[in-house]
Amino acid sequence: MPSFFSNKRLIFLLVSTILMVVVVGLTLDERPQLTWVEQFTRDSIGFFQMVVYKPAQGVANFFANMNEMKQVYSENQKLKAHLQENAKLMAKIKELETENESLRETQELQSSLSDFQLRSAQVISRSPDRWYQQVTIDRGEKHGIEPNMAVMTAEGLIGRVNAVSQFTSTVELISNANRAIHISAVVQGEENIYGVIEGYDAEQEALYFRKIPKDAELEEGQTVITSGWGGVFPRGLFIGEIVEMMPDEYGLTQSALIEPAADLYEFQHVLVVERTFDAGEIPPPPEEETDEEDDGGAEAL
Amino acid sequence: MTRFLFIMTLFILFIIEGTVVQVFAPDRWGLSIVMVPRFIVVILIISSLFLGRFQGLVLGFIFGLMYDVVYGNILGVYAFSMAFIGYFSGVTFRIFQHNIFLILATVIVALFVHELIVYGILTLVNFVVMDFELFLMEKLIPTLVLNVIFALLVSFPLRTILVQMREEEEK
Repeated sequence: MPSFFSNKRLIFLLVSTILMVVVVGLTLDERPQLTWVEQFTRDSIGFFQMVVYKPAQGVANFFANMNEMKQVYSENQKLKAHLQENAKLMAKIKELETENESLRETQELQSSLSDFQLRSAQVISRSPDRWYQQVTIDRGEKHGIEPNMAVMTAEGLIGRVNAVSQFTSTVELISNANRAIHISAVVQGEENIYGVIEGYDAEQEALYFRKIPKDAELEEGQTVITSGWGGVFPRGLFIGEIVEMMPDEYGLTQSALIEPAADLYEFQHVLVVERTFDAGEIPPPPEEETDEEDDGGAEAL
Repeated sequence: MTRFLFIMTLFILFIIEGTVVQVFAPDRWGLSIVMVPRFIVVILIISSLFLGRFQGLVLGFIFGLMYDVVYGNILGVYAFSMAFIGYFSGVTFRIFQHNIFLILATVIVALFVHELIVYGILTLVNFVVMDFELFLMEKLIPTLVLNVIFALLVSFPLRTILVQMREEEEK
């Protein structure tokens, strides 16, 4: 065996280690704008991924369907029962919507925090090492995708766009534990309870919901949606349900664990949400909740 | 010609890792273990046994950088780890090439080191927070199992191709 720690090689190893540390350090931060080389690589490889991913998904879906066939009958009965309730709900929603609209007109409000526009996209690949909880979608800058837009499936919020190239973009999932996406969220109940979603517990597969006022009364099973106050996400995207409550480290606020409503592993079609509300005219949050601001500069979406 | 086909195979594996394998990934069926396909790294290790450390270094760097750009955000992590593994698998005795068990042993050791390097770098920069024990049980060992099976499948045909490639170069 050649001695691989001869002087020249040792120096080469040291230099490349140092170079690696420098490059890692430079690119560690969030980079919504990629260089053209990266964009080109991602787009051209994205094309091949698109070709391969769809047939593979088709095969997997075929097997999944075979399994589902067995349960179709009982499920059908249940769904029929649900359908009637649904019709009632739809009628009620319609009524509430018109009422809401007329009330808005009297208040002369033009737009609301919950106004958004949807763009559908297909997943074309997923990062194989689970260090990066990241998927690639087949829509990019040319289709109007911008960094930080919310991404959801029919079931609920799954993440946000973190880097955009011309024809593809990458989506960071909410299960990315390390670099927490801070999402301003609200618990739906008799009164609104606000807090911030920070981080993900991989073992319990649940999101941390922190900075909830101490005196707020939470219950398990309450639904949590985005609040729209972060200035990027619209209001009203479904996140999940509370599964566990716990006191905060310092006892000043409360925390809770939220089980995401969306399946973070199995999805093919996603919706990219563009908020159409002009961020300049956000109504200021009520006095009690302003303690979020001294959060070490962390930005809530 | 063989060389071109070899690079194309690596490229196809690169795409398959992020697409086809992900469709059948264990966590999709609700399991907590993570099997990371490291097919490129396996081929890289075996090929640098035959083609020498310099080729391993260059191939590892190129595919590592591509991996960083396409499947990650931080540049340099995989470029470094794959180049490192490509180089040091090339620094082995020549007898390693003749025995299939020695090839497999090299693959296991090199993959182990590769996973440790990636885990180490990402932990150092605080990008990843995971207990070592959890990492070992849920990620490292399942990954090794998957990739050793892959290595078993490809090692025989790959050896013929690599020997042919070496002969073409020596002409």
